[in-house]
Amino acid sequence: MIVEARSITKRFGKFTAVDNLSFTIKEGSITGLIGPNGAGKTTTMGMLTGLIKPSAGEVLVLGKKPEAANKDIGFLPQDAQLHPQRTALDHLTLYGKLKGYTKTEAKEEGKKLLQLFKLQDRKTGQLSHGQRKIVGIAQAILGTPRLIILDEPTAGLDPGMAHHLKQQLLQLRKKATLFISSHNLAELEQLCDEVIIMQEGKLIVQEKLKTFLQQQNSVAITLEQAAGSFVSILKTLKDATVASEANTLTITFSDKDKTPEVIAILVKNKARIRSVHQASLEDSVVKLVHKP
Amino acid sequence: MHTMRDFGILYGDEVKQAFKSKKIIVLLAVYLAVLFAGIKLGNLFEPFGSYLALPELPLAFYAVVLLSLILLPILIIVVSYDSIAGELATGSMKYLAYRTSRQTIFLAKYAALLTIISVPTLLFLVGGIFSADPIPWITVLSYALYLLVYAAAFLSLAFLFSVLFKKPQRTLYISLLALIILVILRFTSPYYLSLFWYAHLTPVYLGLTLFALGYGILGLILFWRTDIL
Repeated sequence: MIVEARSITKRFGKFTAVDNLSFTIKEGSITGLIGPNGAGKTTTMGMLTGLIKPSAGEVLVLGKKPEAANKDIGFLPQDAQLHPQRTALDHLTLYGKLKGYTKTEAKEEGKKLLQLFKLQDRKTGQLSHGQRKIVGIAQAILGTPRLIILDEPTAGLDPGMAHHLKQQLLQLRKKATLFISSHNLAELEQLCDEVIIMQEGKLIVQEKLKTFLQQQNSVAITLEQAAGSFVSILKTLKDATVASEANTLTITFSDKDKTPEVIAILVKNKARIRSVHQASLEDSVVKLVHKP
Repeated sequence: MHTMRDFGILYGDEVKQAFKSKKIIVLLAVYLAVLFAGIKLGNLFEPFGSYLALPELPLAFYAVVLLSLILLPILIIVVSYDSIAGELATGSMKYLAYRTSRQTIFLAKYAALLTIISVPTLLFLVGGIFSADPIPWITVLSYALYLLVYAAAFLSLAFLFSVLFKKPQRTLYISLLALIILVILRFTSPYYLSLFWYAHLTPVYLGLTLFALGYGILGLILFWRTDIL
């Protein structure tokens, strides 16, 4: 295991941001950290990087305290500003030197990353929000550390750059372990092989993505009309819960899959079905963390 | 091993960035201009000669020492108030603090600012050895050391405030206010209430060194314990 979090708790005064959280991250995996705002994701990442000290419990990265493993960690913090007077390459050169490169090597690595992300070497104060985010990502992946932790990496990026970044992260998985927090669950579904879901500072799920989706045993049916009126009709189904949002019905089976039966009922009640698919990560997470 | 290398990298970077900072260049230029004016108008400082207890020394030398004693605390506060607090407030500290130890960051910033602030003063003093009315090098060394430790003491206090208050503007105002209060206390209260209590310790270097170390270590411990959010 590259990361072991053992019963970590973080309190800020009377507020408990992270509550007795334990999880592990396997080397070579891409793990998504998911949860609503205020779930404790950023605090958890802070504790993994040594920026935040746990009030209780212990974090081990490569079997060591995060501070002792700092040369093996790359981290993109959320909403952290770069020095506006330094250029993108100045930043990357400095961080490359701290990573162990000579000045020349650090500059070369920095230039390669700027090229990779098609970024001009300007003062970061003159870059757009998205471009500054790219500099932040570049410093996190500089030198391909063994553990790369990214907090909301695609927030603020244009779709083209977000796609490009996703491709780069998939390339990196051959050499590094990635731990990514994002509210873009469609994106995480494409990238991750494991998910950790948090709510109110607590762990509610740690599972392989595929297993998690299968366990959810849910089907999402999109109609051509509003879905709300069909909820009461489907309530007659045994061992199933039904939820609706706009023109989509999400049906979760507690026992075996009864999708054909559901479709038959809907057709009989004059529902016009546009599509039927297994519930996405987003559907499953919304259902899990926003259940009444 | 990493620590020493990282210290060197960060120290060099801090010095380089300081000389790119308009604020620091302007402040140093004003400080140097005042010291230079002090040399030229050294006779004005004759009344302070006995206070400084520097018999047989040129008044221009008194001027540099006295002006440094007055200006260094203010210069240090204005130059260093955002060194830690600024990076904590904007979040840029996160990029450094996950890569290297807190003590390395703290000490590298401290050493860099001490260099930037002390070197001009020391150069002026050393100039005394080669002036038309030369000053013995042992005297220059003694006062250079004194001013260096004096600057270190105030820098320690400024860094402690910077870590304690975390917001740059707040740190600046509180540091200046503290300086004003402590100067007033110096002249109105028993010495133990004053920031300048070290002056009553013998030798004075010992008091200043304790002051620099005490506040420096306190600042370092606080920084080490700070959650960088």
